[in-house]
Amino acid sequence: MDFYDVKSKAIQCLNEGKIFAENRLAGDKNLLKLGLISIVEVIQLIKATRTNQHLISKHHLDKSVEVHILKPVVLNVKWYIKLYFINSDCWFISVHKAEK
Amino acid sequence: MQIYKEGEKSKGLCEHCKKMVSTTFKLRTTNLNDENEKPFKVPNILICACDFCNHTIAIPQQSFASIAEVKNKESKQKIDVRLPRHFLDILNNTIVALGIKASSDMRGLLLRFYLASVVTNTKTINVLKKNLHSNLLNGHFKRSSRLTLTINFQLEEHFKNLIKASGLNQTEIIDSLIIEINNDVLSKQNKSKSDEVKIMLLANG
Repeated sequence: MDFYDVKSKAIQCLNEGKIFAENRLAGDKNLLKLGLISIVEVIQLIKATRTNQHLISKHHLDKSVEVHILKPVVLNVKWYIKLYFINSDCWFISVHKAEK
Repeated sequence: MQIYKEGEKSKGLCEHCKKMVSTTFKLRTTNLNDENEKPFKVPNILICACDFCNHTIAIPQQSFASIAEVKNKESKQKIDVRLPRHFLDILNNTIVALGIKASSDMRGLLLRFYLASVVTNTKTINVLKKNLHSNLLNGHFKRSSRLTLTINFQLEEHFKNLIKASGLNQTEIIDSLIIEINNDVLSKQNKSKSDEVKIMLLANG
């Protein structure tokens, strides 16, 4: 899936509420799950992500699942968003400010 | 918004079974970690459970609001300010002037309402600054009264942004809000705001 498809599909999922937050055994950093960032704000972060701020890796549990890492910078704040798709749903692993 | 029901089926990656699995939406009291990795418990939210090991794989968006509700209850912040006695009297008399009995809860409610009104409108920064030239702050007086304001984390975030944007400190903003309350209600300069405040106090007090 190319960068623009990732952005538009993630935004569509956020708008339609087709969102899951992974529940990792070792804990995770997902401000979206905690309600500390709104859907609208996450959409803004995704919209602000540029091509060179997007990386792809494989999910450690299933290599056929592409994990997308977005690292947008908004108002001089670096963000870290990690997500993947299962069918028409978007699964968020992380949504947080990048560690300094 | 997509709403899932208890008992519905889906699929997801199970960290325990280490593979893609079928899942069922279940109600479960769930242990989570906050942003500082401090654990907290959210009672009876809809989660996505693995059909093989029953591990909680994920949480659907519809449960985020319940998580935030529990989180917000835990994360209320206290703002402590020292006020001159006459500022506390302004708050008490404002409440009484609106036909309501004064109490610390009512004082907190009144101030939170004004704080929320200004933090959501950056145009009010100039008004806040202008208020600090009021006669009520002239002369020598002790800040002998203490006021503790409990606010939720969202209002706290807005408050911090207001401090940054205005260049005013916490005490100056609270002083200015009390002067604004005095102008609106006790000095009868804003009838519609007074009516709005009265309804808010009656409804929430």
